Amino acid sequence: MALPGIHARAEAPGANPLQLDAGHLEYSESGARMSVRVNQASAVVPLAEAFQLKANGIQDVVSGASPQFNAPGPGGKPQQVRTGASVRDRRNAGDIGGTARLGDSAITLRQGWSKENDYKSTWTSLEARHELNRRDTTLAGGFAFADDGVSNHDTPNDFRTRMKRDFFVGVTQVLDPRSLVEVSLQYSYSSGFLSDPYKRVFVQSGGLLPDARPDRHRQLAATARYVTYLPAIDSALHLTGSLSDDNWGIHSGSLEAQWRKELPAEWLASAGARYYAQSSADFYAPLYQDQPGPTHSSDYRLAGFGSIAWLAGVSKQLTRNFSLQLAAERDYRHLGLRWGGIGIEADDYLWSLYMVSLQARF
Amino acid sequence: MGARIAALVVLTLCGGCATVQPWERGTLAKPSMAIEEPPHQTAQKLRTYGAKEAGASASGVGGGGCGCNN
Repeated sequence: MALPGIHARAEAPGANPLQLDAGHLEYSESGARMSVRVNQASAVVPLAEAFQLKANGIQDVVSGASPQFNAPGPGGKPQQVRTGASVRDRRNAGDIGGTARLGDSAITLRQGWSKENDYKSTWTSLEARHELNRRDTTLAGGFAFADDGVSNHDTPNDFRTRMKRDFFVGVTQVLDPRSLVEVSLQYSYSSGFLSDPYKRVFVQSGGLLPDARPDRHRQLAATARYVTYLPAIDSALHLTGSLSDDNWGIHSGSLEAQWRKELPAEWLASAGARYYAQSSADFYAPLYQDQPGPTHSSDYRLAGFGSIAWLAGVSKQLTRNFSLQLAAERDYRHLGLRWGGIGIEADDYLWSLYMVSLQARF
Repeated sequence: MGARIAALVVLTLCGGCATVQPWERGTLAKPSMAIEEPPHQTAQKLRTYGAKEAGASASGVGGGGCGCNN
Protein backbone atom coordinates (compact mmCIF):
# COMPACT_ATOMS: atom_id res chain seq x y z
CA MET A 1 0.00 0.00 0.00
CA ALA A 2 1.39 3.42 -0.92
CA LEU A 3 0.78 6.99 0.01
CA PRO A 4 0.74 8.79 -3.33
CA GLY A 5 3.17 11.61 -3.60
CA ILE A 6 5.56 10.53 -0.91
CA HIS A 7 7.54 8.03 -2.99
CA ALA A 8 8.18 10.10 -6.06
CA ARG A 9 11.66 11.45 -6.46
CA ALA A 10 11.93 15.12 -7.29
CA GLU A 11 13.58 14.48 -10.63
CA ALA A 12 11.35 11.55 -11.59
CA PRO A 13 9.11 11.64 -14.65
CA GLY A 14 5.48 12.73 -14.35
CA ALA A 15 2.92 11.45 -11.89
CA ASN A 16 1.56 8.79 -14.26
CA PRO A 17 4.58 7.54 -16.22
CA LEU A 18 5.08 4.58 -18.50
CA GLN A 19 6.81 2.00 -16.29
CA LEU A 20 8.88 -0.92 -17.54
CA ASP A 21 10.50 -3.29 -15.05
CA ALA A 22 12.62 -6.42 -15.51
CA GLY A 23 14.06 -8.63 -12.83
CA HIS A 24 16.02 -11.83 -12.25
CA LEU A 25 16.20 -13.96 -9.11
CA GLU A 26 18.47 -16.82 -8.06
CA TYR A 27 17.37 -18.96 -5.12
CA SER A 28 19.30 -21.89 -3.67
CA GLU A 29 19.19 -24.13 -0.61
CA SER A 30 22.05 -25.73 1.29
CA GLY A 31 22.81 -29.43 0.92
CA ALA A 32 22.37 -29.43 -2.87
CA ARG A 33 18.61 -29.12 -2.45
CA MET A 34 16.21 -26.99 -4.47
CA SER A 35 17.35 -24.14 -6.70
CA VAL A 36 15.09 -21.71 -8.55
CA ARG A 37 15.71 -19.19 -11.31
CA VAL A 38 13.05 -16.57 -11.94
CA ASN A 39 12.76 -14.06 -14.78
CA GLN A 40 10.09 -11.39 -14.53
CA ALA A 41 9.01 -8.43 -16.63
CA SER A 42 6.17 -5.97 -16.13
CA ALA A 43 4.73 -2.85 -17.67
CA VAL A 44 2.40 -0.12 -16.46
CA VAL A 45 0.95 1.81 -19.38
CA PRO A 46 -0.97 5.05 -18.75
CA LEU A 47 -3.89 5.00 -21.17
CA ALA A 48 -5.44 8.17 -19.79
CA GLU A 49 -4.81 10.58 -16.95
CA ALA A 50 -6.94 8.47 -14.64
CA PHE A 51 -6.40 4.97 -16.02
CA GLN A 52 -3.43 2.61 -16.11
CA LEU A 53 -3.10 -0.78 -17.76
CA LYS A 54 -0.78 -3.26 -16.04
CA ALA A 55 0.78 -6.47 -17.34
CA ASN A 56 3.20 -8.84 -15.67
CA GLY A 57 4.97 -12.01 -16.84
CA ILE A 58 7.03 -14.53 -14.86
CA GLN A 59 8.96 -17.67 -15.74
CA ASP A 60 10.43 -19.95 -13.05
CA VAL A 61 12.71 -22.92 -13.52
CA VAL A 62 12.94 -25.20 -10.48
CA SER A 63 15.47 -28.02 -10.12
CA GLY A 64 17.08 -30.11 -7.42
CA ALA A 65 16.05 -32.39 -4.59
CA SER A 66 13.25 -31.85 -2.10
CA PRO A 67 12.50 -33.55 1.26
CA GLN A 68 9.86 -36.25 0.73
CA PHE A 69 9.49 -37.93 4.14
CA ASN A 70 11.43 -38.80 7.31
CA ALA A 71 12.70 -42.26 8.15
CA PRO A 72 14.31 -43.59 11.34
CA GLY A 73 18.08 -43.21 11.24
CA PRO A 74 20.77 -44.40 13.64
CA GLY A 75 19.35 -44.59 17.15
CA GLY A 76 15.85 -44.03 15.79
CA LYS A 77 16.56 -40.34 15.10
CA PRO A 78 14.47 -39.09 12.15
CA GLN A 79 16.37 -38.38 8.95
CA GLN A 80 15.17 -36.75 5.75
CA VAL A 81 14.60 -38.82 2.65
CA ARG A 82 14.64 -36.65 -0.46
CA THR A 83 13.44 -36.90 -4.01
CA GLY A 84 16.07 -37.47 -6.70
CA ALA A 85 18.13 -34.45 -7.69
CA SER A 86 16.68 -34.43 -11.19
CA VAL A 87 13.31 -32.88 -10.33
CA ARG A 88 12.83 -30.07 -12.80
CA ASP A 89 9.77 -27.99 -13.48
CA ARG A 90 8.98 -24.84 -15.38
CA ARG A 91 6.29 -22.35 -14.40
CA ASN A 92 4.85 -19.70 -16.67
CA ALA A 93 2.64 -17.07 -15.08
CA GLY A 94 1.16 -13.75 -16.00
CA ASP A 95 -1.46 -11.24 -15.06
CA ILE A 96 -3.12 -8.22 -16.57
CA GLY A 97 -5.16 -5.53 -14.91
CA GLY A 98 -6.19 -1.95 -14.80
CA THR A 99 -6.31 0.85 -12.24
CA ALA A 100 -8.92 3.58 -12.45
CA ARG A 101 -8.62 6.71 -10.34
CA LEU A 102 -11.72 8.59 -9.24
CA GLY A 103 -10.74 11.66 -7.26
CA ASP A 104 -9.11 10.48 -4.05
CA SER A 105 -9.96 6.85 -4.75
CA ALA A 106 -8.48 4.17 -6.95
CA ILE A 107 -9.74 0.74 -7.94
CA THR A 108 -7.54 -2.02 -9.36
CA LEU A 109 -8.84 -5.17 -11.03
CA ARG A 110 -6.40 -7.95 -11.97
CA GLN A 111 -6.70 -11.32 -13.62
CA GLY A 112 -3.87 -13.84 -13.47
CA TRP A 113 -2.86 -17.29 -14.67
CA SER A 114 -0.10 -19.70 -13.72
CA LYS A 115 0.80 -23.04 -15.28
CA GLU A 116 3.25 -25.80 -14.39
CA ASN A 117 3.34 -29.48 -15.32
CA ASP A 118 1.65 -30.37 -12.04
CA TYR A 119 -0.07 -27.14 -10.97
CA LYS A 120 -2.36 -24.61 -12.60
CA SER A 121 -3.94 -21.53 -11.13
CA THR A 122 -6.41 -18.88 -12.23
CA TRP A 123 -7.01 -15.91 -9.98
CA THR A 124 -8.86 -12.61 -9.82
CA SER A 125 -8.32 -9.73 -7.42
CA LEU A 126 -10.09 -6.46 -6.73
CA GLU A 127 -8.40 -3.76 -4.64
CA ALA A 128 -9.57 -0.30 -3.64
CA ARG A 129 -7.76 2.61 -2.06
CA HIS A 130 -9.03 5.89 -0.69
CA GLU A 131 -7.04 8.89 0.53
CA LEU A 132 -8.35 11.31 3.09
CA ASN A 133 -7.18 13.79 5.68
CA ARG A 134 -5.14 15.71 3.04
CA ARG A 135 -3.47 12.45 1.99
CA ASP A 136 -2.14 11.81 5.47
CA THR A 137 -4.34 8.72 5.61
CA THR A 138 -4.83 5.96 3.04
CA LEU A 139 -7.44 3.26 3.51
CA ALA A 140 -7.12 0.09 1.47
CA GLY A 141 -9.19 -3.04 1.01
CA GLY A 142 -9.12 -5.98 -1.30
CA PHE A 143 -10.50 -9.38 -2.24
CA ALA A 144 -8.96 -12.17 -4.28
CA PHE A 145 -10.17 -15.55 -5.47
CA ALA A 146 -7.91 -18.31 -6.78
CA ASP A 147 -9.05 -21.52 -8.45
CA ASP A 148 -6.16 -23.99 -8.58
CA GLY A 149 -5.59 -27.51 -9.85
CA VAL A 150 -2.99 -29.86 -8.31
CA SER A 151 -1.58 -33.02 -9.86
CA ASN A 152 1.79 -34.83 -9.76
CA HIS A 153 4.31 -36.23 -12.21
CA ASP A 154 2.86 -39.75 -11.96
CA THR A 155 -0.68 -38.66 -12.85
CA PRO A 156 -0.12 -35.36 -14.68
CA ASN A 157 -3.65 -35.09 -16.05
CA ASP A 158 -5.43 -35.86 -12.78
CA PHE A 159 -5.90 -32.37 -11.37
CA ARG A 160 -7.58 -31.99 -8.00
CA THR A 161 -9.21 -28.70 -7.06
CA ARG A 162 -7.99 -26.18 -4.51
CA MET A 163 -9.64 -22.78 -3.94
CA LYS A 164 -8.50 -19.78 -1.95
CA ARG A 165 -10.22 -16.54 -0.99
CA ASP A 166 -8.30 -13.60 0.51
CA PHE A 167 -9.77 -10.56 2.27
CA PHE A 168 -7.56 -7.59 3.11
CA VAL A 169 -8.00 -4.25 4.90
CA GLY A 170 -5.30 -1.77 5.80
CA VAL A 171 -4.56 1.80 6.72
CA THR A 172 -1.44 3.91 6.23
CA GLN A 173 -1.12 7.00 8.41
CA VAL A 174 1.44 9.80 8.33
CA LEU A 175 2.22 10.46 11.98
CA ASP A 176 4.42 13.54 11.61
CA PRO A 177 6.78 15.06 9.01
CA ARG A 178 9.23 12.20 9.42
CA SER A 179 7.34 9.04 10.35
CA LEU A 180 4.42 6.94 9.19
CA VAL A 181 2.75 3.70 10.15
CA GLU A 182 0.80 1.04 8.26
CA VAL A 183 -1.49 -1.54 9.85
CA SER A 184 -3.11 -4.37 7.85
CA LEU A 185 -5.32 -7.37 8.47
CA GLN A 186 -5.81 -10.33 6.16
CA TYR A 187 -8.09 -13.36 6.31
CA SER A 188 -7.58 -16.29 3.96
CA TYR A 189 -9.82 -19.30 3.48
CA SER A 190 -8.65 -22.29 1.43
CA SER A 191 -10.65 -25.39 0.64
CA GLY A 192 -10.30 -28.54 -1.42
CA PHE A 193 -7.21 -30.70 -1.88
CA LEU A 194 -4.64 -28.95 0.35
CA SER A 195 -2.23 -31.87 0.74
CA ASP A 196 1.16 -32.11 -0.97
CA PRO A 197 1.04 -34.84 -3.63
CA TYR A 198 4.79 -35.45 -3.35
CA LYS A 199 5.07 -35.78 0.42
CA ARG A 200 4.76 -39.01 2.42
CA VAL A 201 4.69 -39.93 6.10
CA PHE A 202 6.56 -42.91 7.55
CA VAL A 203 4.52 -45.19 9.81
CA GLN A 204 6.77 -47.52 11.80
CA SER A 205 4.14 -50.25 11.88
CA GLY A 206 3.00 -49.93 8.29
CA GLY A 207 5.32 -48.17 5.84
CA LEU A 208 4.53 -45.03 3.84
CA LEU A 209 1.25 -43.12 3.55
CA PRO A 210 0.45 -40.08 1.39
CA ASP A 211 0.46 -36.64 3.02
CA ALA A 212 -3.13 -35.87 4.14
CA ARG A 213 -4.15 -32.43 5.43
CA PRO A 214 -7.54 -31.03 6.43
CA ASP A 215 -9.56 -29.81 3.46
CA ARG A 216 -10.27 -26.46 5.09
CA HIS A 217 -7.63 -23.88 6.04
CA ARG A 218 -8.45 -20.56 7.68
CA GLN A 219 -5.65 -18.08 8.35
CA LEU A 220 -5.79 -14.68 10.04
CA ALA A 221 -2.79 -12.36 9.87
CA ALA A 222 -1.96 -8.87 11.12
CA THR A 223 1.02 -6.83 9.92
CA ALA A 224 2.28 -3.47 11.17
CA ARG A 225 5.02 -1.33 9.67
CA TYR A 226 6.65 1.72 11.17
CA VAL A 227 8.96 3.94 9.13
CA THR A 228 10.84 6.81 10.68
CA TYR A 229 13.69 9.10 9.72
CA LEU A 230 16.56 9.44 12.18
CA PRO A 231 18.32 12.79 11.62
CA ALA A 232 21.23 11.88 13.90
CA ILE A 233 22.40 9.22 11.44
CA ASP A 234 20.68 10.67 8.35
CA SER A 235 18.97 7.33 7.76
CA ALA A 236 15.54 5.73 7.72
CA LEU A 237 14.52 2.89 9.99
CA HIS A 238 11.86 0.40 8.80
CA LEU A 239 10.29 -1.95 11.34
CA THR A 240 7.81 -4.64 10.24
CA GLY A 241 6.04 -7.10 12.50
CA SER A 242 3.51 -9.82 11.66
CA LEU A 243 1.42 -12.29 13.63
CA SER A 244 -0.73 -15.06 12.22
CA ASP A 245 -2.91 -17.88 13.48
CA ASP A 246 -4.83 -20.67 11.73
CA ASN A 247 -7.18 -23.57 12.31
CA TRP A 248 -4.36 -26.10 11.79
CA GLY A 249 -2.82 -25.05 15.10
CA ILE A 250 0.02 -23.05 13.55
CA HIS A 251 0.78 -19.66 15.01
CA SER A 252 3.62 -17.59 13.68
CA GLY A 253 5.35 -14.27 14.16
CA SER A 254 8.02 -12.27 12.39
CA LEU A 255 9.95 -9.11 13.06
CA GLU A 256 12.08 -7.32 10.49
CA ALA A 257 14.28 -4.27 10.97
CA GLN A 258 15.88 -2.44 8.05
CA TRP A 259 18.22 0.51 7.97
CA ARG A 260 18.28 2.54 4.74
CA LYS A 261 20.69 5.32 3.94
CA GLU A 262 21.00 7.56 0.94
CA LEU A 263 24.53 8.03 -0.33
CA PRO A 264 26.06 10.51 -2.77
CA ALA A 265 25.50 10.05 -6.51
CA GLU A 266 21.96 8.75 -5.91
CA TRP A 267 22.93 5.46 -4.30
CA LEU A 268 20.69 3.95 -1.65
CA ALA A 269 22.04 1.26 0.68
CA SER A 270 20.00 -0.97 2.97
CA ALA A 271 20.78 -3.63 5.54
CA GLY A 272 18.61 -5.50 7.96
CA ALA A 273 17.61 -8.64 9.78
CA ARG A 274 14.45 -10.73 10.01
CA TYR A 275 13.37 -13.13 12.73
CA TYR A 276 10.60 -15.65 12.07
CA ALA A 277 9.11 -18.37 14.28
CA GLN A 278 6.19 -20.78 14.01
CA SER A 279 4.64 -23.65 15.94
CA SER A 280 3.88 -27.02 14.37
CA ALA A 281 0.53 -28.07 12.93
CA ASP A 282 -1.70 -30.15 15.20
CA PHE A 283 -1.49 -33.10 12.81
CA TYR A 284 2.28 -32.88 12.19
CA ALA A 285 4.71 -35.54 13.36
CA PRO A 286 8.23 -36.32 12.11
CA LEU A 287 7.44 -40.06 12.33
CA TYR A 288 4.29 -41.99 13.22
CA GLN A 289 4.55 -45.04 15.50
CA ASP A 290 1.11 -46.41 14.61
CA GLN A 291 -1.48 -45.79 11.93
CA PRO A 292 -2.26 -42.05 12.17
CA GLY A 293 -5.65 -40.38 12.02
CA PRO A 294 -7.21 -39.10 8.79
CA THR A 295 -4.94 -36.03 8.72
CA HIS A 296 -1.18 -36.43 8.97
CA SER A 297 1.93 -34.77 7.57
CA SER A 298 5.69 -34.76 8.09
CA ASP A 299 6.22 -31.75 5.81
CA TYR A 300 9.14 -29.78 7.24
CA ARG A 301 7.19 -26.55 6.59
CA LEU A 302 4.46 -27.63 9.01
CA ALA A 303 6.99 -28.36 11.79
CA GLY A 304 7.87 -25.98 14.60
CA PHE A 305 10.92 -23.92 13.67
CA GLY A 306 12.38 -20.46 13.59
CA SER A 307 14.82 -18.62 11.40
CA ILE A 308 17.14 -15.65 11.32
CA ALA A 309 17.78 -13.89 8.02
CA TRP A 310 20.21 -11.20 6.94
CA LEU A 311 19.17 -8.76 4.24
CA ALA A 312 21.19 -6.29 2.20
CA GLY A 313 20.62 -4.24 -0.90
CA VAL A 314 21.72 -1.28 -2.97
CA SER A 315 19.94 0.75 -5.59
CA LYS A 316 21.26 3.34 -7.98
CA GLN A 317 19.44 5.96 -10.02
CA LEU A 318 21.41 5.52 -13.23
CA THR A 319 19.81 8.30 -15.23
CA ARG A 320 16.65 10.36 -15.02
CA ASN A 321 14.72 7.39 -16.44
CA PHE A 322 16.56 4.27 -15.30
CA SER A 323 17.33 2.75 -11.91
CA LEU A 324 18.99 -0.50 -10.86
CA GLN A 325 18.39 -2.54 -7.69
CA LEU A 326 20.39 -5.39 -6.18
CA ALA A 327 19.26 -7.32 -3.13
CA ALA A 328 20.36 -10.40 -1.22
CA GLU A 329 18.93 -12.39 1.65
CA ARG A 330 20.28 -15.39 3.55
CA ASP A 331 17.97 -17.28 5.89
CA TYR A 332 19.10 -19.75 8.58
CA ARG A 333 16.39 -22.13 9.77
CA HIS A 334 16.87 -23.58 13.25
CA LEU A 335 14.74 -25.93 15.33
CA GLY A 336 15.75 -24.18 18.55
CA LEU A 337 14.10 -20.93 17.45
CA ARG A 338 10.62 -22.47 17.07
CA TRP A 339 7.48 -21.02 18.62
CA GLY A 340 6.38 -24.20 20.40
CA GLY A 341 5.37 -27.53 18.97
CA ILE A 342 7.68 -30.18 17.57
CA GLY A 343 10.24 -30.47 14.80
CA ILE A 344 13.53 -32.18 14.01
CA GLU A 345 17.09 -30.95 13.65
CA ALA A 346 17.40 -32.80 10.33
CA ASP A 347 15.13 -30.12 8.80
CA ASP A 348 17.55 -27.27 9.62
CA TYR A 349 19.04 -25.70 6.50
CA LEU A 350 19.74 -22.31 4.96
CA TRP A 351 18.56 -20.66 1.79
CA SER A 352 19.94 -17.72 -0.16
CA LEU A 353 18.23 -15.29 -2.46
CA TYR A 354 19.83 -12.87 -4.92
CA MET A 355 17.78 -10.41 -6.95
CA VAL A 356 18.57 -7.83 -9.59
CA SER A 357 16.00 -5.56 -11.20
CA LEU A 358 16.02 -2.70 -13.65
CA GLN A 359 13.31 -0.05 -13.67
CA ALA A 360 12.51 2.44 -16.40
CA ARG A 361 10.16 5.42 -16.10
CA PHE A 362 9.18 7.66 -19.02
CA MET B 1 -16.56 -5.71 10.11
CA GLY B 2 -13.36 -4.92 8.21
CA ALA B 3 -14.42 -1.30 7.72
CA ARG B 4 -15.10 -0.98 11.44
CA ILE B 5 -11.67 -2.35 12.30
CA ALA B 6 -10.05 0.02 9.79
CA ALA B 7 -11.98 2.99 11.20
CA LEU B 8 -10.95 2.04 14.73
CA VAL B 9 -7.31 1.77 13.67
CA VAL B 10 -7.48 5.18 11.96
CA LEU B 11 -8.99 6.80 15.03
CA THR B 12 -6.36 5.19 17.23
CA LEU B 13 -3.50 6.24 14.97
CA CYS B 14 -4.78 9.75 14.48
CA GLY B 15 -5.26 10.36 18.17
CA GLY B 16 -1.90 12.08 18.47
CA CYS B 17 -1.07 13.21 14.96
CA ALA B 18 -1.66 16.52 13.25
CA THR B 19 -2.06 17.11 9.53
CA VAL B 20 1.29 17.26 7.75
CA GLN B 21 1.32 20.11 5.26
CA PRO B 22 2.59 19.56 1.71
CA TRP B 23 5.69 21.69 2.36
CA GLU B 24 6.54 19.48 5.36
CA ARG B 25 6.76 16.31 3.27
CA GLY B 26 10.37 16.64 2.16
CA THR B 27 11.62 13.95 4.53
CA LEU B 28 8.68 11.64 3.80
CA ALA B 29 9.50 11.93 0.08
CA LYS B 30 13.04 10.64 0.53
CA PRO B 31 13.71 7.35 -1.32
CA SER B 32 14.94 5.80 1.92
CA MET B 33 11.49 6.41 3.45
CA ALA B 34 9.54 4.59 0.72
CA ILE B 35 7.41 1.99 2.46
CA GLU B 36 7.58 -0.33 -0.53
CA GLU B 37 10.62 -2.00 -1.98
CA PRO B 38 10.75 -2.37 -5.77
CA PRO B 39 7.59 -4.32 -6.71
CA HIS B 40 9.40 -7.34 -8.13
CA GLN B 41 11.52 -7.72 -5.03
CA THR B 42 8.56 -7.46 -2.68
CA ALA B 43 6.56 -10.05 -4.63
CA GLN B 44 9.46 -12.49 -4.87
CA LYS B 45 10.34 -12.20 -1.20
CA LEU B 46 6.75 -12.80 -0.14
CA ARG B 47 6.49 -15.76 -2.49
CA THR B 48 9.66 -17.26 -1.04
CA TYR B 49 8.38 -16.85 2.51
CA GLY B 50 5.06 -18.35 1.45
CA ALA B 51 6.81 -21.39 0.00
CA LYS B 52 9.05 -22.00 3.01
CA GLU B 53 6.93 -20.95 5.98
CA ALA B 54 3.42 -21.93 7.08
CA GLY B 55 2.66 -18.55 8.66
CA ALA B 56 0.92 -15.70 6.88
CA SER B 57 1.26 -11.93 6.68
CA ALA B 58 -1.22 -9.21 5.82
CA SER B 59 0.52 -8.06 2.67
CA GLY B 60 -2.33 -7.59 0.22
CA VAL B 61 -4.27 -9.74 -2.19
CA GLY B 62 -3.54 -11.10 -5.64
CA GLY B 63 -1.23 -13.77 -7.02
CA GLY B 64 -2.25 -17.36 -7.59
CA GLY B 65 -0.97 -20.50 -5.98
CA CYS B 66 1.96 -22.49 -7.30
CA GLY B 67 3.61 -25.86 -6.98
CA CYS B 68 6.30 -24.17 -4.88
CA ASN B 69 4.00 -24.71 -1.93
CA ASN B 70 4.04 -28.43 -2.58
